[in-house]
Amino acid sequence: MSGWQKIKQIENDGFLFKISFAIVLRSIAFQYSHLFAERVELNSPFYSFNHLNDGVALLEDGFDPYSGNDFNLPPISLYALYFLQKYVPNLLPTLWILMDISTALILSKISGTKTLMPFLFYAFNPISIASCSILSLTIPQNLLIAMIFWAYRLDYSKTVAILIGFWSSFTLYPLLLIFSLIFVANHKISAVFLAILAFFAANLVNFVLNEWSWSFLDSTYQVILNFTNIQPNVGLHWYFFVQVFEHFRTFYTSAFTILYFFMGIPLTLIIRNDKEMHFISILLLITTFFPYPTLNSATICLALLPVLEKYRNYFRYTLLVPTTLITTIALMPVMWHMWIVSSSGNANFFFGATLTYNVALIYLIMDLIFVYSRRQIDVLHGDSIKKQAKFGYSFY
Amino acid sequence: MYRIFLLFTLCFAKEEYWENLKLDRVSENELKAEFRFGASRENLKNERDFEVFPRILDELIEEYDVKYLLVIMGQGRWKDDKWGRKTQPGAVHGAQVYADFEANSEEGADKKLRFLIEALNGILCTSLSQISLITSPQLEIFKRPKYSTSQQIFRRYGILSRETTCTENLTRLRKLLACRQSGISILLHPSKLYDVLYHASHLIVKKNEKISEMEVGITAVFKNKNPIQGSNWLLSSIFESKLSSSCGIATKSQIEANNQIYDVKNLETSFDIEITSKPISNEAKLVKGWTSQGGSDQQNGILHISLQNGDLDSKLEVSQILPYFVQPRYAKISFKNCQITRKALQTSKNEKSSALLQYEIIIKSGEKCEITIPFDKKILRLDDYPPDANHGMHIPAAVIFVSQKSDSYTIHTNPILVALPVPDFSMPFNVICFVATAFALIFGPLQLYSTMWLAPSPPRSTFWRKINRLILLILIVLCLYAHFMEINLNEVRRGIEQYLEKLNELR
Repeated sequence: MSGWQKIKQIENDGFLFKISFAIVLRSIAFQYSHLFAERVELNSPFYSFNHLNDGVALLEDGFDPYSGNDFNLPPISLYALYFLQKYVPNLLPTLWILMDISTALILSKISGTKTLMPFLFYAFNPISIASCSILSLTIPQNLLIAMIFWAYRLDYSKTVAILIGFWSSFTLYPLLLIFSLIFVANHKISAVFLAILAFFAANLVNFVLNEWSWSFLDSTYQVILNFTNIQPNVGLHWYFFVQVFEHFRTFYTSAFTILYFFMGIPLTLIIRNDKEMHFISILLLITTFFPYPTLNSATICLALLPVLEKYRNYFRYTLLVPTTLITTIALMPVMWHMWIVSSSGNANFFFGATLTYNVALIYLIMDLIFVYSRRQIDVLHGDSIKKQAKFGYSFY
Repeated sequence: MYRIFLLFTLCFAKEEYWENLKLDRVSENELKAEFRFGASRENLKNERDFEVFPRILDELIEEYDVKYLLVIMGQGRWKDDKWGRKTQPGAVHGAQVYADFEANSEEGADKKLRFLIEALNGILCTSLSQISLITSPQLEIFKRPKYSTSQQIFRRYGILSRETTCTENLTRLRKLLACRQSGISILLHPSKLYDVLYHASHLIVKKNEKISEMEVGITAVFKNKNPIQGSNWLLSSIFESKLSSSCGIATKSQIEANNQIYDVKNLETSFDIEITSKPISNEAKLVKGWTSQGGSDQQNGILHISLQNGDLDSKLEVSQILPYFVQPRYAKISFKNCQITRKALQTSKNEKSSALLQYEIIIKSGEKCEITIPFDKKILRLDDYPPDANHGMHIPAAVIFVSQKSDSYTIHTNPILVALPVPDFSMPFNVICFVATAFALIFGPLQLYSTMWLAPSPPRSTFWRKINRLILLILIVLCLYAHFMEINLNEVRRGIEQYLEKLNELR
C-alpha cells in the first residue's frame, strides 16, 4: 500500500467524524446567524429567506404578495414555506442543515471513493456554512444541482430533464442546461421536450397555487429578463442598470439576455466529448450571469471542479483565479462597509469587488474551455507532441 | 328696469360667494386666524358666464371630470397640547393632494391625473410634478361621498413632503376669489401671513349633479413678538392692513372674534377690533402622533410611529405612505400595545408608485401604541435621484383619522428624511465599459474555440522573423535618437520635402 492510498484510507475512516463536524459547524453558525442575516453578499431577492418570509407574512394577512414589486419568488416557494412555518416552524434550521449535508454527501458520492475533495470543498466552505445559517434558498438549490449532477452522471435522462425543468421554473436561467441533455439519453431530443414540459408543469402548479392567476410572472420572470431590480448583489448587472442611460436600457437588456441564452450553442459545439465538463461549464455560466446571485451559488460549482481531475495539468490560471476569488470575497464586506456604513468610499468600491469576482469566474470558464481543447490535442496526437510545442488556432 | 334685471338673473346660473374669518387666542401670546372663502355655482349646461365662481376651476372640473379635489399645503408644527385641535382639513407638512375623478380605465386615469397635477401647478403655482399618487379605493381617511355616475371613479392620494408653501401660492389662491381688493381678502397680507408659527392653506373643489363648490382656506398662528409690552391683538396690526371696504357681492361676510360675530358686509367706515377674549383652554387631551427613525446605515432603517391617546377611547385609522425608494420588511412589522382590528395594504406594479399601509387601531384612553416598520433603503437609477442626492428623500407623515364617540378629526405625524444609498454619479461610461468588457471576455473564447481549432503549430523558419525584429529595433533606436536630440518631426518632414523639390528641379 502506497503512502497516498494510506492517506485515502484514513480519510475514509474519518468520514463520519467529518460529517458530524460539518453539522456542528452549521449548528454553531445558527447561533451567529444575525451576523449574516442582512449581508448583501449572501442575500438577493431570489434567494433571501427574509424576502420569502415577508411574502408569507403578506399571505397570512390576506394580501397578494404579487401586487407589488418587492416579492420575486414563485408561489411554490411561497406556499412551501407557508406550510413549513405553519406546521413545523421549529424544524426549519434542522431541515436546512439536513439539505446542506445531503448536498455534501451527494457530492462525495459523485466523486466516488477516489477523492473526498468535493465533499470537503462544500461541507467546510465558510460561505455555505453562513448561507445555511441564514436559511438561504441557495441551500435547496444546491441540493437540487447536486441531485441533477448525480442523475446526469448516472445517465438517468428523464430524472435529469424533469429536475432541470423544475429548477428553471424558479430562476429561468438554468434552462441553458437543456444543452447538456444532449449527452444523456443517446442524443435523443425527447429529453429536451421533457425538460420544457417540466418547466411548464411547474408553472402550471404556480398558476394554480396563485389562485388561478398569472400575476406572479411579472414579479419573477420579468424581473429576471428585464433586470428591473437594481439592488446591490454580487452579480454583474445591478450597477450597470443603475448607471446606464434610460434610452439604452432596452438595448442592453435584450443584448445581455440574448447573449446569455445563445451561449449554450457555441459551448456545445466546443465541448462535445465530455459531459461533465459541459455540465460544469454551463453551471458556471448560470452562476455568473444570473442577475441576482449570491456567493453561495458559486460554491457548488467550485466544489464540483475536482470531478475534472483529468484536466488538472492543463489549467492556466491556477493561481490567478483562486486568489482573486478569495481576495474579492474578503474585500466585499470591507467595500460595502466603506460605502454604506461609514460613507468613506462610494459605490464604485463595492462594484469593483463584485466585478473582479465575476471576471475571475469568467476566467475560470475561459480556462475550462481551454483545458478541454488542450486535452483533446493530447488525446488525439499525444505521442507526436513535444513538451515545448507551440500552439496556434487554425480553421477546421 | 327692475324686470330686465330679474330676467338677467334668471338666465344666469345661480352663484354665491361668502367669506369668513375666525380669530381665536390659543395661548397668552399666540393667536390663530382662520380664513375661509367659498363660492358655489349651479350646474347649468351651456352656461358659460361666470360672476363669482372662478372660471378656471370650472374648466378644471369639466376637463378632468373632477368630483372632489383637495390640495393642502402646510408648514410649521402644530402644537396639539397648546392649540387644541388642528384646523380641518388637517394639513401635513408639505403638500397633500386628494382627488376623486372619473376615467375610463386605469391608464386613462393615470394620464388624466398627470395633466391634472400639472394644471394644479399652473393654478396654484406649486411644483407637485414629483408627487407620487396612489390608487386608493379603500382610503377611508376622508369621508367618501357617493357618486352616481356611469363611469368609474378613481381615487388618488399623495403627499409631497418636500414642497414648501410660499407667497406665490397665496397670490394664486387670492386670484381665485371674487373679491380680491375688498372685503376680508384685504387682510391676506403675505409679509404677515408667512411670518408665523404655523401656516396652512387649502383648496377644495367639489362637484355634484346640482352645484359646483369651491373653498379656499388659510390658517395661520401668529406669535406676539414683544410679550413684555403685552399683547396687542388689534386687527389692523395683526395683518398690517385695514379692513376698509366691504365685499358687495358676498352673501355673507363675517368675522368671528371675542365670542361674537361681526358682520362686515356693509361697511361704512374702516373696521377694527381688538381680540380680547381669553385663550381657549384645551382641557380635553387629544390624540397625538409622531414618527421617528431608527437605523444607522444606508442599508436598513426603522420607522417608529407612536400614538398617544387622550382622554377618550378612540378608533384610529393610521395611513402611512411608503414611497417607492423604501421596501418595507413586512414580516418584521411589530406593534406594541396596539389592538389592531383591520389591516390594509396597497401596492402597485408601477415602478415609481408608493405603497400605502393602513391600520385600524382601537386605543383606550391614556394608552400609548407604537408601530415599528423596518424597511430596506433602495438604490435608485441614476436619473431618479434629485440633484442633491445626498440630502436624502422624505417619507411622508402618517395621517391619522381619529374617531371618538361624538366627533372625529385628522392629525398628522412628522415626515422623515431618509438618507438613501447613492451610486457614483461621475462615471456611467466607465461602468458601462467595464461590464461590457466582462461580457466580451466570455464572448471571446466562445467565438474563438467554436470557430477555430487549437492545434500544435509547425515550427516556422526563424530567419525572416529575425530580420523583422532588426528593422523594428532600428526604428526604435531612430525614434529615441530623434527624441533625445529634440529633432522636431516636422523639421524632418520639411527637410525631406525640400530634398524632393530639389530632385524635381534637377529634372
